[in-house]
Amino acid sequence: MKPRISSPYLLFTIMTLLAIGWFWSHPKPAALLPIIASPVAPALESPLSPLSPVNLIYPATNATPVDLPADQQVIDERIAGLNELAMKEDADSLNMILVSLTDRNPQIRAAALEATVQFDRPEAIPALQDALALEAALSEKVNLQNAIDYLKLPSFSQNLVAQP
Amino acid sequence: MKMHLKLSSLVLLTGLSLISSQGAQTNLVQNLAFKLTAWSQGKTTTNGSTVTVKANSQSIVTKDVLTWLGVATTNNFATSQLLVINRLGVPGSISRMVVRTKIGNITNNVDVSAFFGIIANAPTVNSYSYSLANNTINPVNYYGYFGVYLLENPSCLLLPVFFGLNGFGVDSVINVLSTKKVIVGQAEQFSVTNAVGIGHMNGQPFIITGNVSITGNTLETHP
Repeated sequence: MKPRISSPYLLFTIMTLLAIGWFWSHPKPAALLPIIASPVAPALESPLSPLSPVNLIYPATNATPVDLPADQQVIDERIAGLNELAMKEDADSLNMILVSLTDRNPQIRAAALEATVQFDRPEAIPALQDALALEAALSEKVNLQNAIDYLKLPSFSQNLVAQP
Repeated sequence: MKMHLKLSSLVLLTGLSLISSQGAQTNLVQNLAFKLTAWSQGKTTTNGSTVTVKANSQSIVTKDVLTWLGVATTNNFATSQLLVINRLGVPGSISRMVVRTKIGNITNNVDVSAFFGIIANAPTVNSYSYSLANNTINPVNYYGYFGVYLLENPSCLLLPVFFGLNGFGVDSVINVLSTKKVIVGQAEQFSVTNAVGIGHMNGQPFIITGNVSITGNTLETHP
């Protein structure tokens, strides 16, 4: 039996392939950029150690905030996750905290700021300055500036290293 | 007379006996956080006829406290968490301060309650409402003059730093909901801000200021 290729199916296949090719060869829609080019993803693939300045791994851009989680439980889980990350020492953890500094939800922003302070590394200061430049609310500006000032302080624990 | 109570007493003070619970095997896990500044006398330098005296201000965060607790208990608490754990549905249960370390799938808890103290220096000023009809209580705020202490432990003399802080604090009691949106207990969100006190490091005193908080309402099954 002679195989038959229906011309509408062939046309559809060619059009689909052309559409895929066009998508990958053209600039991505802005809404997809935060997903495709997440500032966290490259850092996760190539962890930096010791810590590099955050602006190297977290460019001075602000990803489009994700939609607000409707459920308070989801927010609480994210906050608990930020608290856990705050106790780590690696660049990936810091990067994940800093991404949340510009979250749309104020509770998560506040938790991210607290986690940044608890992480206690001056490498976070450029990201805090970026967040400060974008912030409109005066009270949050004050909190961000206070965090920047705090991270500039030397650690008290260095005294213990100096003294046997 | 200043009465020293442990956090467990504070819990009783603030009425956690009002807990209603579905199950008695649930733990409330909260985050204990320190954000402090230590002030100490810095160096004196002389340059020609100018003598310069500097005050040092240095940060103390939760990680520092964990490091000191690690020294005192001969553990490595790097990347650990400092938590407050309460058993829900068990009236009069004692709050425990715990250092939790996760390595892979293994979670290890070290009880460090003996190193901490939280007191109410004076009777709190309270804000709440309750129903006379069904004896239910609505969210509570306790405002007070609190003290928070990282204590020398007589049985564990290796703690390199200890301090006491006093200041105005707010203890807010909120309902904790299960995944099925049922109230399983109540959680206190405690914070003392702009507290002031004295600390000691290797016998040397320093002034200490800052904030201490206990926050979160994560539930986990009691092991």
